[in-house]
Amino acid sequence: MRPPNFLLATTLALFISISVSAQKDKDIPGWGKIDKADLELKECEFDKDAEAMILLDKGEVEYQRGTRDVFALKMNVRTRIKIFKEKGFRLADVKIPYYSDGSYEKLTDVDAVTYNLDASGKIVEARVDKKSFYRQKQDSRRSVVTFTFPDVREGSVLEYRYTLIRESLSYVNPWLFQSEIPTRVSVFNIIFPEYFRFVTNSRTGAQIITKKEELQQALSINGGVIKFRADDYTYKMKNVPALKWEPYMGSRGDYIQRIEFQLAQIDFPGQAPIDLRNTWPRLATSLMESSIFGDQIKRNLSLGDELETELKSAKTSVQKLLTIFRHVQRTMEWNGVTDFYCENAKECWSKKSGSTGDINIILLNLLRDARITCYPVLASTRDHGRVYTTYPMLSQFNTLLVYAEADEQVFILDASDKYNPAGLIPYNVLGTESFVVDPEKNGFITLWDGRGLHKNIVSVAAAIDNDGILRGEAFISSFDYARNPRVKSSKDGPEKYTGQWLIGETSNMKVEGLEIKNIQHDSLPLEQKFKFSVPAQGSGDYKYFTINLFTGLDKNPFIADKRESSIDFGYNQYYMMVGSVAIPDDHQFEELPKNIAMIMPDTSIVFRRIMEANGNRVSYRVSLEFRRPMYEASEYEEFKEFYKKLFANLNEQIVFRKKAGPRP
Amino acid sequence: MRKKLMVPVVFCLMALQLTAQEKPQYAVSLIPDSLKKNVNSVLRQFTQTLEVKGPGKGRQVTRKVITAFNEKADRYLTFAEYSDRFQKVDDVEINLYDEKGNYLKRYKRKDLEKLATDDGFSLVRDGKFLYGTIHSDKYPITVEYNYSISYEGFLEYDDFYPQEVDQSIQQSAYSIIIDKDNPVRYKNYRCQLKPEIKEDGNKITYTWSVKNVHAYKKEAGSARGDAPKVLIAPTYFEMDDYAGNMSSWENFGKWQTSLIKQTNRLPEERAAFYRDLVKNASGDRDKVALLYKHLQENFRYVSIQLGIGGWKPFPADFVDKKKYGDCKALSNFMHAMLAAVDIKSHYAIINAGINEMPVDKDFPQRSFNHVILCVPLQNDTIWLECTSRSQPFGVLGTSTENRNAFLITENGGVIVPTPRSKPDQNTLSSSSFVELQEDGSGKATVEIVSKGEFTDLINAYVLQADEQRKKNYLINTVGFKQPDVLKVSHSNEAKNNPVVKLEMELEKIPDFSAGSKHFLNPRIYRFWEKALPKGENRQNDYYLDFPLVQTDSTIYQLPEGYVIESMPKPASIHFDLGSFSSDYVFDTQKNRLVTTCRIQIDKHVIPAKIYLQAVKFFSDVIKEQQQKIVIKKQ
Repeated sequence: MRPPNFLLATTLALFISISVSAQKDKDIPGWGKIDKADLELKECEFDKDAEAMILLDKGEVEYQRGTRDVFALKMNVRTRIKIFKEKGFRLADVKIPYYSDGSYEKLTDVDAVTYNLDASGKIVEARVDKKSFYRQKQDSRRSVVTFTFPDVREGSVLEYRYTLIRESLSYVNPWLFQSEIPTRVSVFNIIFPEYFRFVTNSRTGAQIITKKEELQQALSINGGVIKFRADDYTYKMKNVPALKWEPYMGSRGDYIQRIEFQLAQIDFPGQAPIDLRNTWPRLATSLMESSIFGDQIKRNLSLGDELETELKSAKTSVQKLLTIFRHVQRTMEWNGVTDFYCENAKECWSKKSGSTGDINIILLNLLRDARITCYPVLASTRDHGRVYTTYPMLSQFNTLLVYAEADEQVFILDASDKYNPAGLIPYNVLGTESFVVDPEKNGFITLWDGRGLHKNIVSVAAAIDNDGILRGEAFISSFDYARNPRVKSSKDGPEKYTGQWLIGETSNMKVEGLEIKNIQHDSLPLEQKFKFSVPAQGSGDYKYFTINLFTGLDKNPFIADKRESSIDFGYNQYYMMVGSVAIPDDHQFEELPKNIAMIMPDTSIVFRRIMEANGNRVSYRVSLEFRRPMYEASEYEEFKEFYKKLFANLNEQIVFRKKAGPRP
Repeated sequence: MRKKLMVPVVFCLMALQLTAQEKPQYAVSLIPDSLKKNVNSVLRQFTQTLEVKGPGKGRQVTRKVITAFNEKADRYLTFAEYSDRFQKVDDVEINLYDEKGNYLKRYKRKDLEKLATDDGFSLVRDGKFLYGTIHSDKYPITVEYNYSISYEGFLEYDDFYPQEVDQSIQQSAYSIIIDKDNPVRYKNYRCQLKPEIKEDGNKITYTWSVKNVHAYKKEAGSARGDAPKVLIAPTYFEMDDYAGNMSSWENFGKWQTSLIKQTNRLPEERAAFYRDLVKNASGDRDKVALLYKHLQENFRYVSIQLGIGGWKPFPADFVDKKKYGDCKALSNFMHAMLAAVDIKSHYAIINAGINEMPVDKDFPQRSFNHVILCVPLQNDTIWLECTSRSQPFGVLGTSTENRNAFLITENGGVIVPTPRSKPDQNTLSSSSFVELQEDGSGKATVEIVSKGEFTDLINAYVLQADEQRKKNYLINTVGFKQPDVLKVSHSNEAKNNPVVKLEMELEKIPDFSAGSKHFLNPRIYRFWEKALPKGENRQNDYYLDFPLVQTDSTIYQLPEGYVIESMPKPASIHFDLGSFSSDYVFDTQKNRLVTTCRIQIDKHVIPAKIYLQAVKFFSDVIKEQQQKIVIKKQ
């Protein structure tokens, strides 16, 4: 989002000439000053497998005279990359996007050079020529400059730089010290004239090095010159490991090392200071006064014939709420944009399409008109990242939900999600901190009520026939978070559904006669009933089969030795497998898998297996319960060991063999 | 920065009155029942007229009406047309109708978005897409697209599809109006259709049309683009002021020559450099190999598609300086290097991709997406894939083998078949030594040697990959059990037959154990996984990825005191295009079990008539894998 434009009501003509005293830092070589040792480098010393590394990532931000407002921000960026493997060649293709609409941003002075060693060990350079920078429009608002480095090999060092001028005095990009490849040095420098006070929020480990210096700068005002103080801050990190994807990682943004800036106060001599420092209540007030938020909640949307009819049969408040929610959920199409604003609720309502902000603001309109207590709720989806309640910054949020109360029940609603029912907190925000926007009700709530579960119950009645085929019937009930994605894929037809949810890894499994019930009844579990057959496997006299069917628990996702991020399932989980399997009369079971219970030391995961043979029939009951939605990286060792044993147990087979010949 | 796809529909009173008078021609009830069966949408009406005003000038007007019955047909509710210097979308109007055929809404050009094109692999591309999506929560919904495109250059005309994949057709017609002395060329593929031809002065009109046609059902694993179509192409054409004649490959080739002829020579100083590079070579083949090695080691593939439909390569000296290029530029550059050392070669245009059929050698048409190089030497012809840094010299790989290349020679174009894929070009062979302990734990050492397509896989997932990706590949794709300790090392890089070595410590090697008995898999990973979908009455050939040879040998060193209770019998399984064999030998002296197996697939295209044989073959091979070796304590 482009931040609100705080245009200053000042008639001063300003020009700032900045005299930065050149400070030598041996970690930061100059543009084009390439160390031969870097060209000879074979691997990143703290990440041997890395295909490339960032040798230097450098950003500098300072103020200059703006053309739209009085001030503009100027950002110089320089990046130097070392290529180790062919896979790293992709880093030689560079795209620099910018917001070109109305010249809000200008991208200039792009320069790029490749450095290699020639056969005699001399450094040779190859520059990207002017016409090989391609400047293209992406859509009506954004443009991109694209280029590729020449003469890239394993061992090359690539360096590029550019200047971005933004017609804004307040929006400074967060600086990311970390990347998908390792970084040797990342440094960010920002110079604030004393008139601007920024609040910083750093999400970094202990290694950050901060340096503050005072400078004198000159400023010409209406022909005269005044001198003033400027604060020059430098933030530096060294040897930052790559941030890699891990299973059930949650948001990358929660882990990436970075620093964020927010303009808090502008204080010009001779003018009253403008306080931009926010508090949550103040943010709430300004949102409610905004034309693309608060104003859109009072738009008197017409119900339409259909909804009007539907509402006639709704008696209680809860019924009204559910009717309105389901109507909006069904009729509005989400356009793929996640945000918390709405430019024109009427327009979106008429064209039946909109962002999460549009759709839920429409829902608020309709609920309020039906006299149901409801408030907008700012939320951050789990992949967007954690919300820090001590930093009143809107950028921490990326979506809008609706908090509604009816007949003493509380609902957290997202009508842009076609599959999540009213009673269940949407999965993509489950467990996060969210902010209720209302002059009176202002405040944070944690989106967790402990009720929703990812829950599947699989029951099976089967027998192995004389041809060694395991045939039977299965009945699966999927609840809450297990239900939603299944309802979604039930629209793709039985074949795809079977492939995705029932067959899984067992390629020789056949499923027939699938019936799915309760697709429309979002308060009931999704019931899936079908017949299946799968050959028992065997060798010589022995045959065997598994009872771990239809759970999706085929492969252990946690096989990495180490873990950097938390394991974020989001929900609590419950799995149950019950059933019985008969083998042919002339066969008998070998030793059955043991009855066991496995419990994590903190009792947060419990696995139980009870198995009993009765003649030629084995009955079983296996349950797996997760009572925590999240595990910290520091708990990984224990967690990994548990998971390994868990999957060994889940995949244990039941072995049987032909009985020895009849005794006399 | 919000995207606004659609603006609200203005209900124009006149439009309402108009539609009230009109018969609801798009009422769903007017679709014959038989056309609604087993489809999610019906093409109600398709009327397209292309008026060719000159070899490089024309205008095409299209009306396309589709009824979607459910959300699975939502992709037909999207409008996306390409524009660039040579073609421009003039007008667009999209109308929506409900089930009864009543007019609902209208979208115009201003409601659509202009997007930069992105094919997913090009760094830079020309052109824009005019794009818009219609939203509907009610089905059936009927959408009518009316649009026209003006052309400032032709290389091709649209083909005509008398049958659509997964969509039935109520009415479809395609007309081309053109000068009599520039006749349209056409040819049927898997259909019997004749255009209606009308002459009017010096103009001639061709019209192909069909009515009430059921959907074409695509079979799993069949070749891409095997649905029926009428191939249609110009005789005389013009693109970016380059005029050409497509009536023969020879003539079409001359046009292509005019595009590359100024671009395929190196300056003398650089030519001398390349002559010097090969001065010690022992013959022409050796020279080609040296220059190809130079290309692979110093140049890289970057896709940049700008101007003239992406048909004109960057000049050879640009590539020489920048050390990158796309398939055209790299092939053209390789051609120039070879020319510098007096070796003749031909720019070879081809339709690359897995499961692509050869282009029709009797119907010159633009149906290509890639360029390779053909070097005809005295005694053998060398084909070079110039975009790969790891391809062995002289081997094309399965995405360009088994089809027809359009070669550009000094006398124009000619169609030449590329080599057939051979099993011994794609090999994977592994040997393992497994030391078992009584409790089922143990150590395993595995050595893997590969060639061809298998090396590409190993390069991507092992040699170039980080720890997590490597481990994920070995455990979840190849099927090793999760090791406690894993060490991966390799000798040689991808282009020189790499040998990968895995050293593992595993907590549990047997597939499972019952009491003191251990049940071992014949190999410690999944040797073969591919099963063919079942299909009686198969109509189309089935395409595997490539022919191959895979071998394995595994030695299980049993713990002391353990004996074999049972082991699988040696197997020998065949079908017309492949074979599998396995053997199990127990060495009592060393207390070791040695298992070996080998699979060979001779050809990657399995003819429909032996499909059932192939299904059984692969299913038998999988069954063989699932047998167990049972060992127990004596």
